Amino acid sequence: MSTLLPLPVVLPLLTAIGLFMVRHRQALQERLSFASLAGNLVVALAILSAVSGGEMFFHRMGMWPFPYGIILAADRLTGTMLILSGTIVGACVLFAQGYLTKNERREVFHPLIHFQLMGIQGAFLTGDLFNLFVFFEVMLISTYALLSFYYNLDQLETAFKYTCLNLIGSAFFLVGIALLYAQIGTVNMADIAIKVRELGPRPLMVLTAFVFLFVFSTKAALFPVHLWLPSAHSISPTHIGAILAGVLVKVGIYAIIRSATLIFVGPFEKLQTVIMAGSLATIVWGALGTLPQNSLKRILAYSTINQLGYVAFGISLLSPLGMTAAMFYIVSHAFLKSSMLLGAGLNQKLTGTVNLDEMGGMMHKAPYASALLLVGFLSLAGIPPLSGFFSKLFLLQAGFSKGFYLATGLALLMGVISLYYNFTTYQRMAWGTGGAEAVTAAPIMYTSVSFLAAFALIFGLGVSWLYRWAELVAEQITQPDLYISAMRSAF
Amino acid sequence: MAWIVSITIGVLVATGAYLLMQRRVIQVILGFSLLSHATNLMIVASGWIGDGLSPILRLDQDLKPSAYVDPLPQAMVLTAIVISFAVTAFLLVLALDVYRRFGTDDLDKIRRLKG
Repeated sequence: MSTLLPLPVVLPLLTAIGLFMVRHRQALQERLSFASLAGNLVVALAILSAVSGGEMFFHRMGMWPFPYGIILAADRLTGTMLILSGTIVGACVLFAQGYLTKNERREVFHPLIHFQLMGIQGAFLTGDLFNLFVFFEVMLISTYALLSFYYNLDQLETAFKYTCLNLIGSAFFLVGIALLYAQIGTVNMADIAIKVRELGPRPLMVLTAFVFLFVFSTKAALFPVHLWLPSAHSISPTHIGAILAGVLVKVGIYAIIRSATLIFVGPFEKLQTVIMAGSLATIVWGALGTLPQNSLKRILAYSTINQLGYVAFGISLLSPLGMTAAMFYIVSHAFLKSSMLLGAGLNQKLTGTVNLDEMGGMMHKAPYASALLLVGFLSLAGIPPLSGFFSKLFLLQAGFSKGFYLATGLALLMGVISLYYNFTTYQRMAWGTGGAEAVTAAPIMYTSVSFLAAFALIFGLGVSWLYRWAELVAEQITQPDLYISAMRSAF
Repeated sequence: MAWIVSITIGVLVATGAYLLMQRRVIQVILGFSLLSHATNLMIVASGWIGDGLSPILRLDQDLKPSAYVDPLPQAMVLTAIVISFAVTAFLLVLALDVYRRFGTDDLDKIRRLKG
């Protein structure tokens, strides 16, 4: 089983290189790309089914003894994230088949997506902090290129902004690694966890943990380093925006979860107030930011910030219940938001605009496309029985059980604003009278949006099933000793 | 020796941060490379023992491992240098593209063009 672990990294890497070589034969390139994405999903499923029983798997690269060398690790959290990234990236690439026209640099799109996937999945799998940095960079460099895809003016500016902010983030990542290495001389996550616990939460260690929190927050778009997100989501090509909202920000969230539950357990308890304040500011900023917008995609982008704030709030409770709520939120939001951004792209393709007022009356012009978005908006607004309702419910439950009445109350209040903006947005888009005429779009776009939107329904109707799984994940990650002893006994 | 390294890191960060706040794209890029040099130096310093030997084991000498400098941060820095090299190359291509399109690399002027 553990020999499977390098595959989610190696398969996209080899595919990307191969796709570059056949870039002049488009049909072959696309077929290979989809075959690899399907294979990737099969591997992810195999890993998920292997870890679902609670076992953990480790794979040493280069056979160095613990704690040296590069280690790949898989537990329930990793398995969940791998499925999530494999499915969403696959759906987005399918969507791109209909979205991209002939002369829009298709030949570099497929290789870059696979490089990005390699970075994402590597980040989920690695058990080594420096390796996490490397996979972050692989993921980011391909994202920089994907963001500046058509090279129009806005995209150039967005790509530049995104690159600059993430370069600062990367610099701080290295500063954090240097600070940590100077103190404990190791980068293996389990080994760090042991040594951090021995040293206790002394000020320098808390500062180190804070540096990492800052770095991961830039990736996860938490306040105050969320400013890159709205333009990156709305200006970039739709499928890239959907991957950003569905998967890339979750990589940052994943890194925060790992830090809070494994690497920096003690220091993060000291930082609890900081994380909670940051997450509440993110919730408020995201909710209020949607109000003055006219662009469908920008509203969805601000709503992503809003939702990420909720996820971070769940993590900041630092309790099994909070972690369960956060896991539930991550999975349901990833599918929901990527389906909505793709849905927005579909409507953009149909009408040629993302301006809500120009769109107006989509219900008559393109009933199915607007119905797909309706599912998403209802779920985001928190209407039962869709998944968005339950994600908020579990979060409030977790917040109250830990005694954070004021903070949870504020989060609840912002839920009311999100109810408001989701309804008005859909109203403006679906009813009203906009000038834009609807044309037709490729059926494959409808398929991929429907596929992702169906999860909002599945997770809503099968809520107890997903909740049980989130509970299992949380149960495993909130006991760092399980991870540490499993890694030690594996070698 | 430690103070020389500290001051160098400080100067590199200060210069890099100053350049980051400039208006020209090329200055921003230079700022980033100085900043990445500073962080690389910091990683090297994190595994550096005052008068340690270079980490090449000599079989004829009977020295304890603690006599050597920790080689792992140096390996990590190599990786970090390659990554920052790649990102700098990408940024320079982006800057070249900006210059070809607008005939300027002044961020303020470009924003004005956008209106």
